[in-house]
Amino acid sequence: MSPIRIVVKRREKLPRRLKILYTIIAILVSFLIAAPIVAALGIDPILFYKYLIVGSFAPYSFPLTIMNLIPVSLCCISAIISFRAGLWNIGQDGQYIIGAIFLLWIASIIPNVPPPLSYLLVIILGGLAGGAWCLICGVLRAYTEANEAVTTLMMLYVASSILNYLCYGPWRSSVGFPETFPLPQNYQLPNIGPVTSALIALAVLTFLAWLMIERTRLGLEMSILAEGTRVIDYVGLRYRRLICIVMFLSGFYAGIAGALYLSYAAKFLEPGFIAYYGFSGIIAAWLCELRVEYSILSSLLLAALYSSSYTMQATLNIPSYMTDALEGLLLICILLVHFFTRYRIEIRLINARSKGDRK
Amino acid sequence: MRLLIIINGILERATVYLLATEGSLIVQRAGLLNLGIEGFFAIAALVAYAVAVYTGNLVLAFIAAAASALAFNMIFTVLTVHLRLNHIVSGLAVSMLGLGLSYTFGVSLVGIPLPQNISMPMINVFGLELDPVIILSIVIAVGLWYLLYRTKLGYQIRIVGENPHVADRLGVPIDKVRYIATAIEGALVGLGAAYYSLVVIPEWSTGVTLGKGWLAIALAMFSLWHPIYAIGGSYLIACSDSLARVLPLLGVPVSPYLLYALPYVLTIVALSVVSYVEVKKKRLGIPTALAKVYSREERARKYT
Repeated sequence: MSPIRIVVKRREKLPRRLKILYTIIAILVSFLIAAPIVAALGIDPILFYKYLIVGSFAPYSFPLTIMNLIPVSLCCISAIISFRAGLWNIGQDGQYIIGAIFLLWIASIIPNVPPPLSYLLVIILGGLAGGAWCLICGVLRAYTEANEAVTTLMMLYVASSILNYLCYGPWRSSVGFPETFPLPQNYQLPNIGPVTSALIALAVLTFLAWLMIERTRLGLEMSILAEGTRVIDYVGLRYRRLICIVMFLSGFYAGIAGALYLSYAAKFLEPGFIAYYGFSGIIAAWLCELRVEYSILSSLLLAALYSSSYTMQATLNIPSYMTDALEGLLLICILLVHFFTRYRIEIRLINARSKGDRK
Repeated sequence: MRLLIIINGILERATVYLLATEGSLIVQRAGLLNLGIEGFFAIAALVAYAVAVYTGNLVLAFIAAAASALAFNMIFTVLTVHLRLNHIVSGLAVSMLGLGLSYTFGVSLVGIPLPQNISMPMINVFGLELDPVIILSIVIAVGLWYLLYRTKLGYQIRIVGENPHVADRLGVPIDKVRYIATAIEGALVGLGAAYYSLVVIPEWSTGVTLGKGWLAIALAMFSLWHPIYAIGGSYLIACSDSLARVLPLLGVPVSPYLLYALPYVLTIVALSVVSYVEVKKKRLGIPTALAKVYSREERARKYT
């Protein structure tokens, strides 16, 4: 036996102030770890940090951050809804694509809907399509117990194949590039000053999600669902139906993300439409500890990473994949915080006297 | 002649899938759902390619790829086994880190071809020129079957994946068994990734490995977590893969982009059927404790 024993013990609940402090430290640590990686690419880390901030919060780049904020934030809420219920929808990107495709399809059939109604249609069509796409996995989970983390991930690739098929096949409208026809003018959300009006939709949708999770019976049922089937049976809930509802709502938000992004930013579909906002949303969801009220803050950080990656690619020639590495590091650091807020590590010296503890 | 090229393509792709699937299978049998496979697949593919370009030594490239994947996989193991963190989120983190690092550093290798003088030595089996790695992958599959069903370690891996609480009572060193399983996974996936970047698509471009790692997880489930069935599963998916390439060439009016979705659709259907049969109390080998965090002191809790 080694004389030192490392014991992991569960902690009492930490005060919220300490948790926030730890989270900030985790963010800083992940950025610090990035320094040697950037240096290995032959780029001055100081410049990297400079562009990290300038590329996302300077007056010229802030609208870009806001543009990225909306899909990241909606995907974050989508992740929160499913994770809160103990379900693992990690295919937000697939639902995002399907939401956009469905919107473009319906809008091309009825292009002349007058504006206020058409904006509402953007949200409803995107949401319904994304929700339905995710509901497939929800039904499979509820009635056959197929692992929803795996099926949602697979559905992401199915969705991206459909996107490629449409862009290279029937919907292609440009000879040079695999691009589809644009979304009809009536469906394109206008800008208010430098930022898009989709921000209003984001605020309303975030409030509705908060209301649903924190203030309704459904929100309560979701947290019971997370406790496992035994508790559900005891309480007498119809858990299959509940799984389907939660998965539909989770997909609903991710679908809206795609439809909105198509409507205010992309305007048409191309294979590069999939920007992996979903994975950033999942990281944002863990960053805000699955609380909707903080989701915009944590999403803002990830959206900032997105927009600074454009700037860094243009100025420092850092590949945009560096952002993924940074996001991965960030998530690992957040997970470490998650561990240290729940457990503490004790290092004990074992000697003859303390042998009694080893029961 | 054209048929031979198609068959060769199927054999090569199936070998990549088989090696990665066997890796994912063994770790799922130990109760870990490792979504990080996408990340270290990308890392190993890059390491193999870089080593081959700079040293010109094929064997060294394979070894380096296996070693790097094994080392990178340890991040996941520490997060889930020691720190008891959620498998899915830990796996996603490892995936993003791996993909990011691989394609960031891979940029300098884009467009650089492999040295001319390296090529796989061929082995003549019954008059067919075969790649030694193709044969090795089959041998590994059979070896893993032996390991899982005929050795003490295999028994321990299976019981840890089935019910870690019981395993703990029986005195099985759970953490150690899970470390061994993820080490085997890392090495096998590394070999598969090296074969992918060196032989199947002998060039490097950004995003080449996307989706390959996660497909292996699905394939392991599709093959009912059985090393021998995994051979069939991998070859089936490789066939559907090559169908996507061959049918348009033959003038069949099917979009290749839709055919690329076929493996994923097949997996979803198969996984649903398997899980449904399992629910109806017919044993098919699904590891009951898959993706559940084990901690001796407490029962399964929220978010774990």
